[in-house]
Amino acid sequence: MKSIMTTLSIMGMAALSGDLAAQNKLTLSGFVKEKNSQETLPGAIVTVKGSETFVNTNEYGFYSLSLPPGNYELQVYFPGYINDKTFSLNLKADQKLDFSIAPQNTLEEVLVTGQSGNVESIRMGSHQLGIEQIKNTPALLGEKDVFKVIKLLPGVQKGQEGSSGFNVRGGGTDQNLIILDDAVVYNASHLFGFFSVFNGDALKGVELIKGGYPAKYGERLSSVLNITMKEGDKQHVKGEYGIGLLSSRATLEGPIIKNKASFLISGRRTYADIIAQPFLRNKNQGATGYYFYDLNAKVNYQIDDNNSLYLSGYFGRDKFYTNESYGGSKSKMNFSWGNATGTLRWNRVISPKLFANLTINYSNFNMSVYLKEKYSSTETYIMEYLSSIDDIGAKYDLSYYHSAKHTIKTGYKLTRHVFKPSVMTTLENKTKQVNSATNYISWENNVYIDDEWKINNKLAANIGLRGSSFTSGKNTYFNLEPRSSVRYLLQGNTSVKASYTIMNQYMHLISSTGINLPTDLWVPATARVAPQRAQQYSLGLFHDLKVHDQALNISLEGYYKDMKNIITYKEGASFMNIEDPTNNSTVKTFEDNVTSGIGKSYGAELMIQKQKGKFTGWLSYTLSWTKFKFEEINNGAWFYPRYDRRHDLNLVGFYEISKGIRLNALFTFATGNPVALPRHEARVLGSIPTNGNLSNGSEYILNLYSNKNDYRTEAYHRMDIGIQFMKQKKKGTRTWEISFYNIYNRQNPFFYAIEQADFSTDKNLYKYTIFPFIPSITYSFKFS
Amino acid sequence: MPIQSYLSKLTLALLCIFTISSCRKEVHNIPLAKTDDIAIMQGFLNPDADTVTISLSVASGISKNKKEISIDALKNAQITIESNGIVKSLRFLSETPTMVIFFLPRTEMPVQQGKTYTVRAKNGDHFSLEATTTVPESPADFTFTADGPYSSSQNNAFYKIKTTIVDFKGQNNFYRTSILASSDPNYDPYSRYFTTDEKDQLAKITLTMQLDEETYRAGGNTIAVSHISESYYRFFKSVQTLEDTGGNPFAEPTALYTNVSGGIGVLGAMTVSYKDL
Repeated sequence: MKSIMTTLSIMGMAALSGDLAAQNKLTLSGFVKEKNSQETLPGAIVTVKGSETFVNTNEYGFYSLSLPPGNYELQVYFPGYINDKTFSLNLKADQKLDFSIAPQNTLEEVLVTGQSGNVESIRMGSHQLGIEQIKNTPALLGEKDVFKVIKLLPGVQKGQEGSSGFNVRGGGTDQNLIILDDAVVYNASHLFGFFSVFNGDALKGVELIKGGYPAKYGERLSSVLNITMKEGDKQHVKGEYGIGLLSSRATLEGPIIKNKASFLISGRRTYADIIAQPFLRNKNQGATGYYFYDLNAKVNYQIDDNNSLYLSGYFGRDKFYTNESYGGSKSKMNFSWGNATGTLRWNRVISPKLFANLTINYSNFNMSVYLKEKYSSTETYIMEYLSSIDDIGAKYDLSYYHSAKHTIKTGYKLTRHVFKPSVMTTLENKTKQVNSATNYISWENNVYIDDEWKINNKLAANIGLRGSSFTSGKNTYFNLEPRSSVRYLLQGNTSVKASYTIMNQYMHLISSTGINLPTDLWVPATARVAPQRAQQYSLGLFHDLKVHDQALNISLEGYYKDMKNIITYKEGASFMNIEDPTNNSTVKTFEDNVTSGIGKSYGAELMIQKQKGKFTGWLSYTLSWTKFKFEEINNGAWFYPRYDRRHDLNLVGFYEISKGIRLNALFTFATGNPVALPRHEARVLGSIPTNGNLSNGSEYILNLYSNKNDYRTEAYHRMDIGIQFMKQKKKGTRTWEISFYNIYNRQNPFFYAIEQADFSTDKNLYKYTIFPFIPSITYSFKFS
Repeated sequence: MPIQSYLSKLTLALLCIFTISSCRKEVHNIPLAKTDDIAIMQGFLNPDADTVTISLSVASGISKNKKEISIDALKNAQITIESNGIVKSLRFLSETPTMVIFFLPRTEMPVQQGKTYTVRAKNGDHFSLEATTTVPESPADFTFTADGPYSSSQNNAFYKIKTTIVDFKGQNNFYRTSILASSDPNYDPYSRYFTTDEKDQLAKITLTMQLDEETYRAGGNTIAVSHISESYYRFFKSVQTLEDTGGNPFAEPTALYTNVSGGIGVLGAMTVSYKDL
């Protein structure tokens, strides 16, 4: 309580001192937008040339600056956009000014100027990615993937080969809050985890926050991945389509009312099942197939200069199916999973200093299995299995640009969660049985306030407090989360930053595989399973280096994070330990199958980024340790989780060979991940007669393990190269991209198994590799 | 209908996708600590059985450079059973390429309810194993009903056998249920291991087992409910878990329960109640 009062006192004093200073200042406010489409640009930096004054646009592209009357030269910086333009201004009264900046045209050379905000910003532990960076990074089968690029950033562990799930600073995949236009995406993977659900053509920006969280963000322990969808071009109808080996995609956007309202619709579908159908289909035996698709749509309407409405949605699904018939029997199985999200948003500029946002959102993730077996006209068996999570919520955020020294943000969010971890229904010969699985309805409240306080020219801080409550059944948890980040500017484009945060998470993902399968279950904190909690300390050094005309942004961050109440399945338990409606002796809830423990992670992260010029790219290196401890696992001893990797190095480069040709490459290296390897192959009598006479028993072969994850696999590394050929055509820009995944055919381990050697009775350890050298070609066309 | 088997198939289908699209390569020079062979001993003492049988087998270490235990070393083991200071030696009964069975006729040392027994197996430097168990004192008290026939998805009709066991919560009792078919005494279509102290388990437990119509109509079948020792229960639960997750390289590893010092395995005991079906 004392610390809360202290924090509030500091914030009160801050506001007061700001009041005095703000009296002689005028307000410059407005939006930063893309020049042609008029899309707002969140996270852009507006700087006053020749001074330390700057401001970031908020997540809706709005900025507000307090300045004394006078003449100013302003610059706007946003990654992937031309930033060398200077805007002159004679400020005599409060003024609204929208900035329009143009994206770097890939067919034109780009000048090297400007700054990145790397040093000045108070925030640490965050990365902003432009969609062009994601689209230019070479990818498996040419499928551009946000998550695959996220994994090339420092502090983000690779996890399992091929999996799109990512782990940030030692946290589990469930500890990442993935939000698409303010709606939570619970399972962001297609194709059993190999691709993320985000279609790059529909996205505007991606921001990853892994430490030093502003009080605005919470709900998860390890990271916030904030993805915003494009709003749609307000001036011209334009579109893009692409044809790849795995899927094709198309996007169309344009004005509904010029400069007032616009739309965007974007879709993607795989067609492996359609191509393979002639080979798989057999009149007698039916068909088997798999596909995924996703659809993004958004409309917005600018009511007037101060009010805008946005409605956006995402719907995506994966489906694996089999239809078989043999004799007089028929069998049909569908296994599908997917997300649906919807967001309605109202942005309102209440005054040049006060910006409000009201959001109502809906999120759903569900996984279902439908099985139908028909043996005769009267005998059928139907089994339906459903696991789902449904959220509906509302939030209201206020940004108050009080003075040049203070920006105060506050807000409230209410979410109703409905968890259905496993619902099973069987219908056998008209006899219906439903398991007694528990559904959980929970209410989550979050309230926050924080102050971005520029104390003097050198020192700035972001101090905040977040309060949360979570009610599930009769049980309610309350928690306070203090947040603080401090930045001190040193000489020569250098700053040092520090932060301390506490985070709480009221839901858990229990996974039986660790590879982000859709069978992983989301469950709430309950009276028996406490919410997860983490505290993180970080310290960093930031430097902008200019060598001749080349600018490098360098950051070095260290962190320590401890986590408690993280959960995992007990030994041997899995999602299959569910309530079988035909068996009343196995009635259990998820709480019976899990055990809770603690974790800690610490490390250092280096990032060197070159954002401008013909050659751009970054180097990232992470040195880290992550350890977990559960009383009921590994005899209560500490162990490394599967995604712990000591060293993680990534080199990503984009080179403009000429106006229409770009070479993209990446090299990634990581220490092997810890896995459990069987150490013995045991022969036991696994089934014995009731009388105990072993001479009639049945021998089983069992693989026995020793300590958990005590074997570290060989190092992971690979290099991908892609080359893009772009050409301006009459109706738009055509791009051919040829890419080579794993160009030197490194056989990275996917899993290990003890198996019988070929032509021998000996048993050996075998490594399975899933992605060898894979070339691919994609075609895309942007028209306008 | 075995619902869980469908879910198992589902998981296997996913794993098959991974496996089909992967390539296999032997790993040489694994940087692992030396994993020597370990001797395994198993025995389940039953007061009603004609003989005491003990099996010896090997958990073979995966490293090439290791201390091996051969089948001959198992065959030449000295096995004794001790209770109340009386020690008897077991004799060789049979062998398979990977396992050896020893026995002792009931006449030489009857197994009695409530008594504690220790079994030792030794062979010089190869291994020295020891385990102790106490035979449960009271047989299970149960009733049953048979109902049917019902149609099944496999076009085979079946009967539902409902068994009700009376127990007292908090006694920490462990049970196994089975149906012994007259046509094949080893036929065990439904065997379940459970403890009455599992959450939500009531003192009166009703279990439903299925028996195919043909076997039911043949008559001469027996329902068996075994009151088993905790070691017996824990061993088979861990075997079942290892079996369920076997072949899944991503499953959380499970430890095999053991109460055998100097090696691994189990010495358990039971008292069995039978009723004609």
